[in-house]
Amino acid sequence: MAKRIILAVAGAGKTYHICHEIQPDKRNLIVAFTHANIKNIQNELLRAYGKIPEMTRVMTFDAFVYHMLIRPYEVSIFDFFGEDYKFAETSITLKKPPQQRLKINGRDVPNRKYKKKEFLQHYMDERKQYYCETLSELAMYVKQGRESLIQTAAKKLNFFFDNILIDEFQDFREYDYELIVKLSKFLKNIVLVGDYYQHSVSGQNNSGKPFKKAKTEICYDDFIGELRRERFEVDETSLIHSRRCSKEICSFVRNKLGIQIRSAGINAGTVIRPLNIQEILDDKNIVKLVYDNASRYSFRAVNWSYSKGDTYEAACVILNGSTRKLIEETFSASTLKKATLNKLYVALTRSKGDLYIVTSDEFEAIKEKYYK
Amino acid sequence: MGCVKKLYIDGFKRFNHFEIEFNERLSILVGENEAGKSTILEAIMVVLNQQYWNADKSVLQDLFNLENIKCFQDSPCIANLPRIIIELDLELDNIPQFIDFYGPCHVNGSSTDEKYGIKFECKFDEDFSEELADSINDGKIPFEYYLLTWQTYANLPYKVAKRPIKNLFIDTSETSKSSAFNYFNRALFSNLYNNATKLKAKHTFREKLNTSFEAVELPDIDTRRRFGIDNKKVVLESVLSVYEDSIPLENKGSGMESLIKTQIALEREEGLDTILIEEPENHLCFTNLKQMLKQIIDHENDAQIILTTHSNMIASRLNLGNVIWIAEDHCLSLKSVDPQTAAFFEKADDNEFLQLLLSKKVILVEGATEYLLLPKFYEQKTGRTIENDGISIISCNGISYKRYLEIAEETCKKIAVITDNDHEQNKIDEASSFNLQSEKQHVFMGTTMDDWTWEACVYNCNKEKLDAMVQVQDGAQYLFHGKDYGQVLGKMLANKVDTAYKMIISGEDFNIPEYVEDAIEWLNE
Repeated sequence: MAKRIILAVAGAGKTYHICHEIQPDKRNLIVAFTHANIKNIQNELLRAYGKIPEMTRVMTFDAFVYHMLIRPYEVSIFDFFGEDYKFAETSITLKKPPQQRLKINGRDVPNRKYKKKEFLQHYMDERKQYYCETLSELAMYVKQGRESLIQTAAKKLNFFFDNILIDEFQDFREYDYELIVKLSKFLKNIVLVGDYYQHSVSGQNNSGKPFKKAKTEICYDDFIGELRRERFEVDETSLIHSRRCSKEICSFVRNKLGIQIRSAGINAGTVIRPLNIQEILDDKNIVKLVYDNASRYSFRAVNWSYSKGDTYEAACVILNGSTRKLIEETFSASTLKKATLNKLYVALTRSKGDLYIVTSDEFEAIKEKYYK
Repeated sequence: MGCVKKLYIDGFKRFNHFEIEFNERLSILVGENEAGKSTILEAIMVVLNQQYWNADKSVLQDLFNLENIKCFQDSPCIANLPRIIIELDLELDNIPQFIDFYGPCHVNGSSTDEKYGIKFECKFDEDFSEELADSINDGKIPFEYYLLTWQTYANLPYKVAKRPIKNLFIDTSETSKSSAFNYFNRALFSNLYNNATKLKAKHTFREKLNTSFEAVELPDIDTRRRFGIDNKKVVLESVLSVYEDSIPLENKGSGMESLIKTQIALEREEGLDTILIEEPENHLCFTNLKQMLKQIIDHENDAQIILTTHSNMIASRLNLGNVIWIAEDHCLSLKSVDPQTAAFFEKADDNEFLQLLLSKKVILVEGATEYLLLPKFYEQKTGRTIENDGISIISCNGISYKRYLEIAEETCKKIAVITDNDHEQNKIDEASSFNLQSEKQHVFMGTTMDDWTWEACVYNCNKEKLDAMVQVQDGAQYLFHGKDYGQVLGKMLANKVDTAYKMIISGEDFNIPEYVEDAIEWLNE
């Protein structure tokens, strides 16, 4: 029995680590959140072993839940809800399930299309497509006789895999996160890899458990404490060194944001407050990272949250709103919302070379020139 | 290495409900003609190789079970439409790629039981229920609106490219030789190489084809038109042949062909998981058949082999314990046959144990004279021939009849044994206590010391006729094994077959020994 969680910093090489952490002759399952992550993992495996090792499977979380937890047990699932099942063709959809309440003309009214969790229609539309959003909820809700579906599925997973790795675990929210924790209880070997400070960065998952309880945000220590209570062994050292960011950038982030990121010292690069902003904005080799509306600008721009996972030769972060005081001596990270802090952290850690910082005040004066 | 573990059939061809478990290595399917041996092999191919995937729906009418069709025609409605389910339980390693085959989605066995397998289903597409209701209620089966689906037990779609069992079907009974061969070549090609190798071969072939035609430098037709190679017309698989010493296998004659096919199938290292062979004895002479059997025995542990046969020699050479007997809607494995018994039959080449399995009722006799005379006695007593009554007479030829009885024990056939007491009272006692315990198998023999053997019994109740018929020389002793049984009986014992032959051609009726009458009566009860 080994349940391990490895906490990584930005650019520490999570994908690299995962791909080299596996034993290629063992039976491995690597689960990641997005198709982009999957692609990265596959490429890294190809680099490391010349091919995807025969005994290793890589899949997205949704595919994992649907193929291994839901689809084989559809008879029991339909039966559980008292529905007739005829080995029908089902599938999954990114379509949102009907909301519980609707706003009509500013009034908050119950949605008649909404079905409670006791009904199969809570999880599936009329075309027999499961909503991705409620897939994990469904897996956890169904019981097969005395055993939960999770237990049955975990037994099967243990039978087929020596090791299960889950990448970017900080992106899993609510039921997805709960499902992972619950499955972990029964799994022989599971490793979670992720960066706490990158949670709430991706657009689709920016609220809720495990990073919020009621309305309060859960801080790093509480989060780790929770996982330790679930009997995870927490590794805070293996992936603490950023292979991407230079010493200077890491120490800047550490001092300003209070996030324990160290540099592996592979790349050189400094933090620069440019005097001639236009020169930077015009330089095609420097990616401009803006809080939002990247598509509005004529220069090469990326929103902070979309830059997650990217590496650039050089980056220029344009501060705005609550973050604009970052460069001031008196700046305190505690003034930022958690989600904003995390997005800023992501933006500041994209460059493998120099990092330029421009404030909104500086940018404001010339930004209209760059509107498309 | 994987293998095919169990086949479950519901409504396919002659099988309404049928289940068969295969041996991990060798399974020899034995059964009467039309018992469904080939259907079993076909069912495996339907599931594993998605046979009929692309076929015209009109073939379906030959696939449905006749009883099911009749049931529909008797009361036509959507619920009674015929359908087919074939499930194939597999034995696979628990490695990641095979998790897709593992699950509870099957109808054979317990519904919560997770196992490896593939399910084939052919059923009416109920989306068309309303539209076609009238015509269905009129008794028309809407073949065109049937769906054929292949799903793994994990409820995931099955694709033949991902077949977990590499298999090859060697069919020697196929009449249209060229198509059988083409099938073999294609199957061999597609099973022996991985997808990447196959793609590369096909791609290179296509490219070379184009460039080699360019090299022909055929003049253009006119300024705008020229000849070119249409790739779609030349598919690599359709022009492939297996060559041995630069002679294509097709040219080697049917017998050699199946011998070589089997050899190829067996000798591939890291090759096939399952090899299906239909009646290997076809077109093979005795020596070649022996050679083929040797190949099979030598490679017994390299692959799973499922073969059908009518040949006693095949079945006994390859060990009776591997025989699975197919009859009606059930099958019976001889796995539990005592190894000594199996070895016994293996040595005796001319044994007829298959006949034992293939007939409804059996009379086991000691030797040739009984074999010759019994049919005459039977007809005399019942007025019917043994053939009419589906009775086989099997001469044990020195093999103890007990060996035969053991094999037939679980088959529920009625078997009468006609044997001798050899002057031993304990044989008589043993037989009567055996008959008390055994319902389906009875042993009959003379009950006095005078009626110690077949000839003695026949003589004792036909003294007058036989004294007249059997010529003896005055003063000759006619000792049998050094003992004096009287002149006529002595001569009969020394010339058993001659006497029996004479009795048959005499055209006369003889009195039937009492125990033989008993046996015939018991068999007809």
